[in-house]
Amino acid sequence: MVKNMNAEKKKTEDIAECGPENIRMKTQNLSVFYNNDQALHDINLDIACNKVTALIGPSGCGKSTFMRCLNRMNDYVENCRVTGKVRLDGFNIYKDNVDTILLRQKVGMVFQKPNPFPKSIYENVAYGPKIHHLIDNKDELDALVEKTLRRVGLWDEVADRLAAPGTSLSGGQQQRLCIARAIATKPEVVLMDEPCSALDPIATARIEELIAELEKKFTIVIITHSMQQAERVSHHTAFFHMGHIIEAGDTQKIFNDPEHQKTKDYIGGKFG
Amino acid sequence: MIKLFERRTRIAMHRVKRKKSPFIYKSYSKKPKHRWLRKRNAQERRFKRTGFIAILIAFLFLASLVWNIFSNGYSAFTETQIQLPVTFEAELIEKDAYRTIIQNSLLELFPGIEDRKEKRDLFSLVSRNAPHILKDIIEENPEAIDRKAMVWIPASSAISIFYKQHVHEQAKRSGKISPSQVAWVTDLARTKNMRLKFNWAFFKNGDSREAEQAGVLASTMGSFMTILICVLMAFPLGVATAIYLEEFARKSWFTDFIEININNLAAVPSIIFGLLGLSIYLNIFGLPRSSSLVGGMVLALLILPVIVIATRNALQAVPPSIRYAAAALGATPTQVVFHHTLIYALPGIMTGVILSIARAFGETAPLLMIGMVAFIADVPKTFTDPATTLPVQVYLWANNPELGFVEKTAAAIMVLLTFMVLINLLAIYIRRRFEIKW
Amino acid sequence: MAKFEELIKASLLACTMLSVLVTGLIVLSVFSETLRFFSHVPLADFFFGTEWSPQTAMRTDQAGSSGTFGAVPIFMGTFLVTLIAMAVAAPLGLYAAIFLSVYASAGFRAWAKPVLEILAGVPSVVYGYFAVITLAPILRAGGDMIGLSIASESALTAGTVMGIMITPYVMSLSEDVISSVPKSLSFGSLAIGATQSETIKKVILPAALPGIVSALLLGVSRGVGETMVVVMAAGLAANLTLNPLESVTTATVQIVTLLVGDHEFDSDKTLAAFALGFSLFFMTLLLNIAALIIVKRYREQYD
Repeated sequence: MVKNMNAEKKKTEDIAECGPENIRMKTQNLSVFYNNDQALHDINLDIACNKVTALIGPSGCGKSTFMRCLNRMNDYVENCRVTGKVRLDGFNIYKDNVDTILLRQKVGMVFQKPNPFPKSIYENVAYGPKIHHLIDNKDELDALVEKTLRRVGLWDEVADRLAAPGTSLSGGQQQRLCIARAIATKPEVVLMDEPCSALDPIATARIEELIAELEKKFTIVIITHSMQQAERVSHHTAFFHMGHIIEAGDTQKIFNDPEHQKTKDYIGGKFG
Repeated sequence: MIKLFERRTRIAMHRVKRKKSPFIYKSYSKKPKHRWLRKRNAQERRFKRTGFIAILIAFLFLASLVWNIFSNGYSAFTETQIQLPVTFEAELIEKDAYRTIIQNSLLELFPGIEDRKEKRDLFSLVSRNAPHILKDIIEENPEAIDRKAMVWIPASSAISIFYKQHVHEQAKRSGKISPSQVAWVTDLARTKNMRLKFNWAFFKNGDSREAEQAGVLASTMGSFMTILICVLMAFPLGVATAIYLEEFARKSWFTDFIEININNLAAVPSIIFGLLGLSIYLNIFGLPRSSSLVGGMVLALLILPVIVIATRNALQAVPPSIRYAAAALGATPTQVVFHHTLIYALPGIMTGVILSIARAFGETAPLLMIGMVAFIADVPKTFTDPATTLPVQVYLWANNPELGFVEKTAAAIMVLLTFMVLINLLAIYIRRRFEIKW
Repeated sequence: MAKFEELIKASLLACTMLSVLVTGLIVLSVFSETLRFFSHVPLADFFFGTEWSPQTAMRTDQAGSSGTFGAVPIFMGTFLVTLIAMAVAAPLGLYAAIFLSVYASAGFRAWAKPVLEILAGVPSVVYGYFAVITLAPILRAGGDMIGLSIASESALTAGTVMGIMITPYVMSLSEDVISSVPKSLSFGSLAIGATQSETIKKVILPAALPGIVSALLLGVSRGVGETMVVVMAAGLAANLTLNPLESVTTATVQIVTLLVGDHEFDSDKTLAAFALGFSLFFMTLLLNIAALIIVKRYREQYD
């Protein structure tokens, strides 16, 4: 019985509970200004729990800015001012006393270009758990690294060379390593900023498979320029244009029966 | 059943609402995770503070350097003068005994001094250069002979320092002056027979054994002459080398070798160039020691690699498309370079050259090697005359144990730094005004 | 026309050769004098001898007229002063570079960097004056207060001032290196919740390590070759000590004292200066080449 409870506890640790509304993140009247230029205008968007949300739109429409708001990476952009609220599990992350360290542990991020640290593969994955002191035990850390690498499907490829530098991997492997690095801190949300734009089609397919795998346990927000990819991987889609959300909702609905002419044009490839 | 579900949901929502935000870190939390967090945040603050302190220390040092030089040196720009009732006796003038005239007038001012030591103290109130000043006056207006006149005579260095400190209310007694001198100075000051004037002598004289007469004219002129030679030699040589390497040379082991060579040359200690000048220019070519000619030639070698590197960077900044455009019009390679590339790169080249001149201007060590540490009282007339430069003058005065030279050293540094600032401003002006942005 | 082209090219080449000649001349002139020195004084005596008193060489009539030229105390002194200088310059320069490139706002950086670079433009003779007039008395007074006797020409004074002189140099070199680490790396670390300092210590600095090592090497090379500060602030006596409170002498100080005001160039005394100069040249050359190689490898890694 005790064993059973422990097992159950472990399980819940792995999967962050979804709230009753099944909404992980929520933005309310979110506006972003660079100096005096407004980059985002009153964005209201709900991000469903343990689902994939795709952000689409032409370059410079504000989707990256929006994504950086979700884990406050905008703090590092000079002259950037954010108004409005971003709620994670109901708590506004833009309150003054929010600790960005804790926040970013819960909301990880993967970048456009694979950016493994110039350290070993092992160290790349162990970096997050180590700095957050999630695990202080070498064996547990080994186990976590293995589990994480298995989860991103990299374990079989690198098991015999964990000490090799992360930069020695191929582009697709590097990106999966970066995803492993991001999920090793046990986040609730993983942000992916065009994770496949620097990869070849085969590596892209692998990442898409991985996303489908991860969505069971993580809430994923993905920016993509590929309509097909958005259609393939996401449950929900938000279409950004000139700092506004033109349309957001179920992916099938957006792609098959968009309400707005602009959405139709963009998806149809008339501009972009 | 449905009601039960609703109730549960409401309780769950209520719980969610009541739960403390997991992203807010409170220092009183006992959770182990928060303990780490407190440590990490403290570490972060400490790290940032250390970085700021490092910057602050550097700033503080700069400020204290500037303040130190200013507070030590500003007094050198004024000269202390004493008004003396001078009687130009024809008899003494004929004998060229101007010193006696000064002494007589001092005795007239403070009568009744018999003691030899007292007398010596009295006479050392005024500069040892005073007789020359009287002589100049007589030579200019001979009609003054056999008349009496009130003349302002520069005070000696020790008296001057005492008086200046007295004036500026930091009456620090320098041990160099006697109690009776203190009394005389107080008396002179009370009767308004002592004053501070702008020290023109500092800008009109060369070096002198007497601190109150020492000036920077000779060394400044020496600096200019040295720099002139230096630029005449290094500028064409350096620019030509850079043009060849950047525009004409094909890449080979030889150009690699030259490149490594020049990069290393830029980091060779300056004193080594002095050794080179000593053994080649002086010992082999037999050029005149201590001259601005040799000084300039040594400094030219010193800044040559700097000019080459700066010129190459400026040439590299000109986009290749410009070269292709000119070549496509039928320009020969040299025409491309001299009609286009070089012209467009010129502002960048000039900036680099001027900055390297600033470096040469402040250089001291190699000049010591070739004997430019001589005592130079007169402005050098030709490039082969013995000369000295401003930084060397600073070095010489800093080594002079006499108290009066402390303020002179600081003042000379102020002059030196003023020139450095001017040179740098010129470089900034040229860059801002002429540089072409590609 | 073609002839004219060739002429210009040839004259440019001639200028280049002349520039290259300079290095040749340095090596040749300094090296030949050094060889002459070692024909009088055995190599081992110079590099392993611990006694340095070249002045006795002046009196040719006396026994032992060759003087003693054991350069170990001088190299030790140079080492000690440079070490102190780097102990000041390395942390100051590195932390300043980190603060400027990571923490400082663009506005602060825009004025702070040029102001700090003024420090690099100040002639070294000014630093020497500052060391003698200001720092030496302060350090001596401070030493008295805590019961230490500090020599007025202590290695500490010279080293500290030299360190501050090298600081802006180390700072701007390391800042270049730090900002050449791709931004994506630090964002990768920050985005999973590392603090700035953790990112710097665990990601940026390890990545930038070769560049920083080469910046420090160039700083050392500067310190070893620096002349005016030590000539004015360090001593003349060749004490074999590692105590920073005592007076030591350096290679550059000895070169200046041996050669200034001397018109005789054949005595062992003046030749010794060339031997010291050659050692100095060789040392800085090694440091510079090492720094160049390291930084080249490093650049290749990120280009």
